[in-house]
Amino acid sequence: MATYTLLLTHSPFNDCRHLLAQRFIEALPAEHSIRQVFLYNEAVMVANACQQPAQGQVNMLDQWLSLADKHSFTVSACIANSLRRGLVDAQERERYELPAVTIDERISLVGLGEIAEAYINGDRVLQF
Amino acid sequence: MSKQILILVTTPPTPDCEALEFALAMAAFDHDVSILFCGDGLFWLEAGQSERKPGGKNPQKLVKALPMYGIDNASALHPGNRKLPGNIKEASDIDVQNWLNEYDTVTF
Repeated sequence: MATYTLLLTHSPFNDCRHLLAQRFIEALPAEHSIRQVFLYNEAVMVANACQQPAQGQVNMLDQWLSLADKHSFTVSACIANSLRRGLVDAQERERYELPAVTIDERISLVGLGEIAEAYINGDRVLQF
Repeated sequence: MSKQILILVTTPPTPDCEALEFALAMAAFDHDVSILFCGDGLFWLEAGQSERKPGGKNPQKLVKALPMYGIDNASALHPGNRKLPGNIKEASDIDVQNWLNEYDTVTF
């Protein structure tokens, strides 16, 4: 049995890496588990609570959150990468006196220490 | 237990230098970090660069500062005639083959 952390570094809007990562999770044999999905660089755009895809298309945020519920893992986004792209939770909105909360608060803003720790305590870190 | 992590830099510097920020953070948490610049990632090693946005970090200075953060193994693959910063070694194809086999890899 192995625990996996998935590191995503690319935008959900430019290619199919997020879809591949989701298919990996769905295909993972039951004896393995996903510990965490960590969003870094352009991948943090997943967390944007205000995204609205064109009619009939999937919402990548909903896709990730429903997968997280189903497989019991957390989705976290790098706090520095998120803030510089305008993705803020209530705490950061208040701290920087910004006009709105823009992140879906089921996604937590965390430091890079989370992924550093995943290398130590998880079995595998896979990048998509 | 710390891991050996190879940061494979294949893209040019971005305004926020997020590829090297990732590397520095992993080193700060005591992982054994190596960096390989290749392809368009070699543009990190150009001399005479300035920061990519007002008040931003200078990619060239960040590369030179890697040893201060405990990253002593930083290399360039096929740098051509480029004059490499003192702390950057030229990697051979065999080196890269070995690192890719042995290390956890994160590509930017």
